[in-house]
Amino acid sequence: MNENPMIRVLAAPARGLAIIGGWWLLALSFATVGEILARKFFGRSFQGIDELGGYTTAVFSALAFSWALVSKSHTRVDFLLGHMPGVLRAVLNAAAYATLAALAVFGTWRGWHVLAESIEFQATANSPLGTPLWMPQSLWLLGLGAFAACAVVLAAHAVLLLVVDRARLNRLYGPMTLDEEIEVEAGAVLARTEGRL
Amino acid sequence: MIGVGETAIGFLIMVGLLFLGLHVATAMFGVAVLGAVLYLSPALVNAVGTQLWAAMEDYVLLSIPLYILLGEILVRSGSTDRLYRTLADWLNPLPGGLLHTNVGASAIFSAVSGSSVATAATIATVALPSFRKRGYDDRLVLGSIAAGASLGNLIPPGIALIVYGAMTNTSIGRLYAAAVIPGVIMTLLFMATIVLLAWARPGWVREREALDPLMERLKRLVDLLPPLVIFGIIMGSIYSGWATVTESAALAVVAALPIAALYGRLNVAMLHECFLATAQLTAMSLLILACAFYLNFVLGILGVTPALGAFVTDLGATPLMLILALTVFYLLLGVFFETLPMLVGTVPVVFPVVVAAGIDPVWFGVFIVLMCEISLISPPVGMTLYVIQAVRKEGTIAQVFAGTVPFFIAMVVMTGLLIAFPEMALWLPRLSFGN
Repeated sequence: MNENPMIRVLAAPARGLAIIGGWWLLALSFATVGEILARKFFGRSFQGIDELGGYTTAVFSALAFSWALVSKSHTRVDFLLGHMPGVLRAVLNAAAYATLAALAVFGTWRGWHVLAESIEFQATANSPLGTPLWMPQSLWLLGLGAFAACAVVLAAHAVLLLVVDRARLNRLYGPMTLDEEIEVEAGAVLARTEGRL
Repeated sequence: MIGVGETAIGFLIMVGLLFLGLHVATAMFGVAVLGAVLYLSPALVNAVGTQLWAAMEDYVLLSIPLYILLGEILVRSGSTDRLYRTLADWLNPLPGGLLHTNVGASAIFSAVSGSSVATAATIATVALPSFRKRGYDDRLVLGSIAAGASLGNLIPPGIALIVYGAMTNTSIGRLYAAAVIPGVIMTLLFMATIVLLAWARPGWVREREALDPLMERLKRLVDLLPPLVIFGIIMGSIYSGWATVTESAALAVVAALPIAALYGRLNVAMLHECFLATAQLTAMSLLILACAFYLNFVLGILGVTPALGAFVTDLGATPLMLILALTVFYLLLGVFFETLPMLVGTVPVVFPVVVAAGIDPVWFGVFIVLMCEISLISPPVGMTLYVIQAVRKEGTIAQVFAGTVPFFIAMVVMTGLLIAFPEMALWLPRLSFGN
């Protein structure tokens, strides 16, 4: 179980969004195979798989942003950080989360304008499908919004810890430790091979 | 409009922010906003929304989550462990024995999984116990795993090539074709390094291993099929013109499912784990990429491209001098940075310079990915090195560093070859696509 109480709360919804995105990604893969086969053997195309694929990139990654955040996967360079005194490290850890939250909130705010304009002008994609752009953009914005919300909660917590408990701040909001990183990158393999070698 | 001096200061600010431990995406975005506010109008900052949507709504980039998902499915199917055993069956008789298996299995595995760190952890987990009983030199065992794991980016379908292609509008099909021969040569160079060491220091390797009976080994060859089939599907569908790069990735994902089912590992819980891991790596890459595209957009309006081009022309440097300077630059940067930050952080500034000097963008893609691979195994920051040490749970990190030295030298030799014989990267794309 995660030591960070905020992450314990945020993990479940973030995880849910990522899994929904995953099923969508898999469904699109099957649709793409259908498209390739139809094109090759029946000489016809569904039209628009590539357009849906473009939306999938945007929606899948936006939905995944918050999961990557709560699992500390957004990359930081920890080379100097590890050599700094605790107080300075605490300030920088809090600053990293505060600025990331600022980025997320700003991106969501401006993303909202993109969606609002699409709705106002009833914008459609310039493509055979002519997709009304508000459809993919709403899902995209949902992902950005969730990311911003999570980022603000974590940033607030980090700033609070800066005042009350800097050691805890460094533990919870420092860059991934080696063990965490290995767990993320190879946890599945390690769990699977345990005891069998 | 800004000049070369301001660009350099901006770049240094970005590097400074990275060193302060800000998220890579934030650092790039911060510099972009700074440039827009100082030299252009704040209105440009409001264009962020449109830019984010345009950067993320991209069909070519979809190949990133698809290839990651493919790798996750294959890892969880258990085909890695089997692959390792089969390669060991056949590579053992070479001088240097099991060390070749480390390089070969890591190369294949990191090519399909797209992650050098995952490869290092996986192969180290599978390989280290089998080395413990045998009399190999520890350092070489560790070095060969790290070296093999770094190969993945150069062997298609590497994520780094997709990122480079997307950022510079270079054809990914061409980049893949360009990387094939250098990838093979690099693998052979690693194996040659092992053979040389085996001859020079017989005490570091075990002379001969008892092999399993031939029939058993032949039977196990079947375990080579899954990775080969997947690789064949990807390259075959791209170069026969059946599918685009993204479509081939989707095809490979669908083809990987029956493989996992065959090994009895396919179920909903496993798929969810695959999705979550894919989400982590994709979100991490795409957030950085989206910010990099915005930085690119701002730099474009600031006129950095022509400014850098003019600067290079005035300098009168030959392409060779430029490439040598960049080699030194990347070797230094590689000491501190990992693949993605290094690639995404430097391409917006370096690419215009390179193009202005008349260097082929496809060749440069292979070059820069090779530089990224070197960064993965150059201490003290190379993540793969620490991961291997962590899996090992004994000895010191210095032993891992020492073990990578021969392979580091092999990579530098490779860089020299790539510069001396650019055709090794340019010939195959020309053959497949014409000029």
